[in-house]
Amino acid sequence: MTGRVIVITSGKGGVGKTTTSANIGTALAKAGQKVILIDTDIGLRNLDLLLGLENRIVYTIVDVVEGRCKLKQALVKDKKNPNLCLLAAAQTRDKSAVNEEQIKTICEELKEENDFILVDCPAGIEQGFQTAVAAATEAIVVTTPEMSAVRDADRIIGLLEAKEEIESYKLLLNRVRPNLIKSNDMMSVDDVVDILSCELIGIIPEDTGVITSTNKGEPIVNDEKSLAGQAYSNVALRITGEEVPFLDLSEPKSPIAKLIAEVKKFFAGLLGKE
Amino acid sequence: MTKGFIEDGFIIDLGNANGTAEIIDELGNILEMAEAKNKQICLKLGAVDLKQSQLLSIKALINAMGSALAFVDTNSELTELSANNLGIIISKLSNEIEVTEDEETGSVEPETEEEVSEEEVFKGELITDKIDLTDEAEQIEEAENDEQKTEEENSVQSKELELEISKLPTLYLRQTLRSGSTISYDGNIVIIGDVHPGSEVIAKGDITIWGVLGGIAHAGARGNDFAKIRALKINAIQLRISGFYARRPDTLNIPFIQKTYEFTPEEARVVNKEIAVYKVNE
Amino acid sequence: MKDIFTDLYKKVAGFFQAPSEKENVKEVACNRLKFVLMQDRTNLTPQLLERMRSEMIDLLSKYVEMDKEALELNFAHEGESMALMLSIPVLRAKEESEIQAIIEAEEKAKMAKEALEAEEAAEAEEEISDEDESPEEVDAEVDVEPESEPEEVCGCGCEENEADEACPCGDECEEIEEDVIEDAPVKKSKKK
Repeated sequence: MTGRVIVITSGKGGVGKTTTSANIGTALAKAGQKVILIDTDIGLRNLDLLLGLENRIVYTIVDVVEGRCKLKQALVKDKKNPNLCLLAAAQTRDKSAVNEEQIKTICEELKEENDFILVDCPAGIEQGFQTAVAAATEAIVVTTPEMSAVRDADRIIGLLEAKEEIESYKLLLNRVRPNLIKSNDMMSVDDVVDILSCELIGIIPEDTGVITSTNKGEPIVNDEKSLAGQAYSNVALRITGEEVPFLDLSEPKSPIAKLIAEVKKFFAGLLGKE
Repeated sequence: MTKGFIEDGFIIDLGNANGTAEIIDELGNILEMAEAKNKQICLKLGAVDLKQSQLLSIKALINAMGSALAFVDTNSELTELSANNLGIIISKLSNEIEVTEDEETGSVEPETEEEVSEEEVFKGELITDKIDLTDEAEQIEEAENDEQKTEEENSVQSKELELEISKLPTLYLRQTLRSGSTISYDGNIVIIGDVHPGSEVIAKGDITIWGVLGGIAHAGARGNDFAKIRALKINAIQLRISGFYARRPDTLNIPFIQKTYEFTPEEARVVNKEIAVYKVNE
Repeated sequence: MKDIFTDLYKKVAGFFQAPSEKENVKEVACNRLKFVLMQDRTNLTPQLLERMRSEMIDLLSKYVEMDKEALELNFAHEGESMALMLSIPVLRAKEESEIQAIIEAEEKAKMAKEALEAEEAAEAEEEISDEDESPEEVDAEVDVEPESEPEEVCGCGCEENEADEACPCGDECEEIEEDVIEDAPVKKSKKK
């Protein structure tokens, strides 16, 4: 089997690349796929924190690249799911420690025995980005509906288009707040997709559960009640080729909220006619 | 050959091998490592008998891997004869380590001038000491050559190792190590300050932290099972002694350091092939 | 009293209706973003963009009567190719006669301009040939020069025809002439 190498990038920092990588990886592994997550943010690693594996890192990608250990020794199995393995970044070095050739070799070796290789890209467009993108054939561009994030995403899409090896790229809209969109304070999903002219692969709502899940070291896909978790699972399904309709994020969850929404609509209708 | 310092030297000790096949096997494994490439190989052959043809094939193997055979240390007459015929230098390896600035492995960050002078004081005392570093290839940090030791040698070794630590030079730092820093030293390390998660302390001897240990500490990095790790509070992400390692329980997911004024001095040492942490009062 | 009730009513109504002013926030954001992205993608500074826009307006308003304020310039991004999209509300088409008139007027203006340029070029050439001698004679024979440049108007504006007599403006005139002559070497070097 040849694995698919997907890079998860954004340009802007803090939009949710690492969260997305951890969750999509976990969701794919839960669905039975063999997944390797690679953290290429060398010097500022975080993927191990989100998976709760930070205590178990003995060897990192820099050790592999510099020959101090074999690739298999550096892969850390996930706590709950043996289908998922992490290749952690080094905390004590910087992004010049791994170059494009080296990551291509690593991915070639990993492709033989795994279905998916998700590369978590660091913020920026310098060496870190170049390294992360070097081995990938597909990309997921993560952005939030904010001006600065969208502008940086546009730049990144431009850079990805220029690379021949990237055959397809999709957009993932993160931290969407449906109530702000409704009150026209935030750009809507359609606006962002229009501006960037990019195919959408997922819409993830803003969810405070993400913060708790990071603190606990358990990706939010494991929480089936959370909307964000469900959205991430859907993204994983779409990656494997299934057609899944986008969640309706404006649905209020509790019955009281539903009632209030109905009342509002009723009155708005009345007043609108006057 | 006069005693001296070889530029880019790499010692390979194959004294325990039984026969050429094993030698070539071991040599092949060791030479595959990145640190062994492009180095001057010093081969310790012990009492193994090697015919000229066998020695020649070994030399060819070394050359093929991109390194060169500097000299051979052997107790066997046959091997000596073969070496002479092939023009290979024979020398006795004495395991003297002069601690100069060039030879310190890894990054050492002395904070103030005070500390630098303390290092130099130790340097002066050390030159006359002899440290036994048998059965180790110089540049390997983990004890990956354990397979080469035989049982007899082990018991002799343990006594030597215990004594060794007290004879090692000690690096004395008065700073807090933040995430991303690495301190590694061929001796003992004393840090007056905290060690934050994300940083590493690697020592050939003991590690003593006068503060909270939150990062990774690796004592006895060259294969000394008797090295100990001590701290006023051990909250380490990982404790490594020689070839053993232990991580903190998963329930404690603290990526930042927990500063505290309640200290419980603890010491970690290897007991029954496991790392155990003892309170100092016990 | 009535005011209080109207205020209260508006507040309550506002609770049930999304206020329409807020549309602006999102629209503003989208427009700013589109503008910024256009710049990022094409290296056109705002000044250049403005110039392009006004030049286009001038050009197009020759042929079509349009609302000049409402010209919209957009770059559309489709996969790898980018297209420049222009949308202009057309008020009315111009009559053919109008267009012809404008074109003729332009042609005339163009021809007149060319003629003028030709004249100036010719004058300039003569200036050069005359001024070849003048730099050496600057200090002496200031009075003689008006004779050597019969068509040159005296710097103070008096006519050349009276050059034989003393120039009516006296010394002032000579100074001005000197300035003219001193400028000449500079002119010459540029033209060469």
